[in-house]
Amino acid sequence: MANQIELLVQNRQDWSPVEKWGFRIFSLFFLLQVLPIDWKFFRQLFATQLHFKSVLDLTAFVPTIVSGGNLSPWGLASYVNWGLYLLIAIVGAYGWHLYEKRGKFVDYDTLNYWLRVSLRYRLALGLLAFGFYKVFCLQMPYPSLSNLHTNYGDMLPWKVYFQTHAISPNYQSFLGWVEIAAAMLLFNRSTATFGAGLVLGFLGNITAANLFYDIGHHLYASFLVALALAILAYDVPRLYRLIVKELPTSGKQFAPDVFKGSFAQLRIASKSLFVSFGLLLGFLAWNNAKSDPFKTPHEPGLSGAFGYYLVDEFKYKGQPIAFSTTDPNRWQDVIFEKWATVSLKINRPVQLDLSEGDSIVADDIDRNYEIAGLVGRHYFDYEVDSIQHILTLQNKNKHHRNERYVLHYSIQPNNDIILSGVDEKQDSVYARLNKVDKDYMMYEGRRKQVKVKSIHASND
Amino acid sequence: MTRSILTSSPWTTTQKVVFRIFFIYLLLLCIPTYWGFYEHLIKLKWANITYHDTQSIVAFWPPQWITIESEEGVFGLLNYINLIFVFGISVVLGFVWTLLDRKTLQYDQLYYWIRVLARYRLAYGMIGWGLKKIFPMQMVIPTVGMLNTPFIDFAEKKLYWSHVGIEPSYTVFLGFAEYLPGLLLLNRKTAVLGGALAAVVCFNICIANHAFDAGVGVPAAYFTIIGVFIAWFHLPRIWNLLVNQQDITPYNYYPAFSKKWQQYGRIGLKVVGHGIFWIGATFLWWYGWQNNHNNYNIPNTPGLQASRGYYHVTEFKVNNQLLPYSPYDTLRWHDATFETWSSLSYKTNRGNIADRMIGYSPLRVKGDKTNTKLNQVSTQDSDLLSKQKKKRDLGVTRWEIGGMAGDRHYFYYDADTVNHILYLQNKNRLYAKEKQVLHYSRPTPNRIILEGINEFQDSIYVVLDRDKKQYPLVDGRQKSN
Repeated sequence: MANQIELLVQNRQDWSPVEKWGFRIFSLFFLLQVLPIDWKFFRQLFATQLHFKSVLDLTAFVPTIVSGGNLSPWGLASYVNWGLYLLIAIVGAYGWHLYEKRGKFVDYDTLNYWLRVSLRYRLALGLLAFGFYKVFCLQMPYPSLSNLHTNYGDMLPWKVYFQTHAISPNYQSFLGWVEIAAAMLLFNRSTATFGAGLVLGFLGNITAANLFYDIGHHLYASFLVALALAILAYDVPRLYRLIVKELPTSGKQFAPDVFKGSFAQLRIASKSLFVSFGLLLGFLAWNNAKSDPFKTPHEPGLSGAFGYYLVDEFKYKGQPIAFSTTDPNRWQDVIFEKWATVSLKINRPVQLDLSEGDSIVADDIDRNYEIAGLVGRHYFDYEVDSIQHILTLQNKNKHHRNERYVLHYSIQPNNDIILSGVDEKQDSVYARLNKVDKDYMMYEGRRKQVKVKSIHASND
Repeated sequence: MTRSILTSSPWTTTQKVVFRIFFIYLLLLCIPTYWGFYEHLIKLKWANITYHDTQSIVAFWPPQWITIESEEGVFGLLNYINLIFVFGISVVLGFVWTLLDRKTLQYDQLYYWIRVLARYRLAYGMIGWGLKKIFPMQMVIPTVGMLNTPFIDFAEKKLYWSHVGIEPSYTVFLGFAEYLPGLLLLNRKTAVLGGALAAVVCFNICIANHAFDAGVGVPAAYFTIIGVFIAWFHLPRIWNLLVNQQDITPYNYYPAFSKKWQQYGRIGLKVVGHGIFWIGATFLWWYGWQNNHNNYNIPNTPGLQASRGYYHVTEFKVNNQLLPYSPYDTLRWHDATFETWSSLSYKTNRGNIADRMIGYSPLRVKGDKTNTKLNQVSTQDSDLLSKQKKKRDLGVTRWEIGGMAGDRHYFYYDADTVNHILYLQNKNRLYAKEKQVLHYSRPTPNRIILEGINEFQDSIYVVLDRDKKQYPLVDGRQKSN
């Protein structure tokens, strides 16, 4: 006890052999993943553009030994890198032990301090990036009209999870601000425990959601959870002593005695650098959301066409086809987005785009968030020739890129659109589209009595 | 509020005034203040108790002394009026108390006991709400009808609840996020962690309820207030220890239970309370969940054997007139669904008034049924029907139709499997009079032919063919790969 008090006065800990072993293993385990000791990091660094998503991807970099196609995308096996790092850490810890056995002094308190600094900043960095990703609703953009007209069962679980959060942009922003608030608490050493505690539940929930909905980022989310746990662990003995044991507890914390002269300036400089990087992330996110949200196509769609249309009249190869939900050629309904995407409902299978649709691409046809993770409709990117009144369509799905249409359009006074032209096989297509005025339960809500009105054909 | 000495010290005047206000506030929040609660308690038949009974005890609501019958009053921010009003009363009473009591130096003892009350109120509440998800009954795996309904034809609340329901293991995870803070609150040493966790979880629930207009924002805020109150006892100490790096010598008042009856009383209360609201409730929820025999959101009458699926309407005749498919037709069925339970739905271009009963909707505690235009009051009578050993299909919270656009019509059916007749009744309570009697035949496993009288007394003939579609939502990404 006396020994302990002496140590407390020096703000130092009494490191038992078990604690030393634990520290050696876990510090190596974390440092291997926090420090950019992976050639892939530098490849990515040099490829980074001044684009929010590009910088976000850089902040989400975690060194890996096994990666890409060799890595199981899901389940326990996907954590193979953690196992390998743990193995390396154990071997390293043994080497460290041998080094100490030769009488070399290791200042565990100082090492512990710096380990915590690196974990704090690493976690704060990840939170800032994903915080701004949500604050400006870049992560989960509002569902497109076509997506809203997709059957619930036609979406992958992750897509339903995203779309559900996306319909409430304010809630998504709120979640983003929680992450940013936690990052700010982590930025200060004295409030770091509060930040880690706050974010542990938040990240735990995100990790669970990533696992159960197969969102695709469970490894990174679990890594951030591990960081939060490690940061929190630092103060757990102290809190346990105060709250559970109800014993007098020292608030003194060890800090290395190095912040003098030029070191103090270095400290301020690195803190400023971090703040500037955070501000840059915020600016890039705001700028991307304002100018060209990267998950949404850029080109505006056919002017005045945005909406949901039923196909009142349809001819294929000159032959009329009556309304049908089973005919593989009959268009059932058509949706024009605000941007240059048109989607068709046809009873023909769609090969699922299994990606998350979150890569940075310039061309609208490659911006595949609107087609990722769902089936049920066929999505076409199009170009408008507003002089000749021609729409040139190409299927956005990489499995169906061969599907094309060249269609003459004419917008009728009653907002009907008549499309006629040919598909990629030069077979003729004719469709008269009726812009339907519909009520939607999602917008009507449940506050008052709702009765969706019947829809009418345009000649009614 | 921090006292860094080993014995109690006098409180400052401000501390005493603030304490008196919050003492009264928490007392009013943690003790049920409406007669219906006690009425329910007295009428309880302990012999055939179910999870529904323990739940309705622990899920009692904050005081509702003012009722504002407007949209904002029922769903919006005005719904908070009672939490604010009760606080106002507490402030007034707190000052009256201050005038009357000029001698007391400290309230360590009262502070302890109000924390005990708050801890148990919140603990049992969190455990109850958690159990609803640990045995995933609050949110439901999408039905065939839901799988074949566009996203936009769901009310926002239905979307929010359903996105949890699609992954039962996630529902269970969320259940533990409520259950575990509840358990931590049962022990005074871990109560600060339990209170803080409960507050964070409930605050998120509160915000999400407003974001998706889900209706339990106020009860969630109420739990948040109690959680913060419990955590507050230790928070200044923790803050001073960690942030201000002060040395803390904690002083905690504990009552000395010197007399035998006090010791036995304490243990007895714990055994009874924990026995009913923790162990007992956990058992009752498990019992209700297993074999689906009292899952209040799901009907319990089996459907036609192996009929589950989505069907195209290949042929449809009304009064012997063939009616071709048209998306504009208001009578002809556009499609049809069968579930594992006795439910048939069809879509047509004719809206009905939507059933807005989406899960639990505890917006009124007085059983006030006057303002049903704004709010369909709780009609969760599935438990009652279950106890009477009746079919609960028409009395359940009607999960499959609640919050869905009314152009898909859901019917319950009684199947006469000898004569092959279905007696159908619309599940939407506003259309309970809509009944059909249809003879069925199944020439092939994937074809069902229905023939008989529909809800408008027309004779119909319907040929249904099952679509063998695969649902990405059901298969998931790994299997779709």
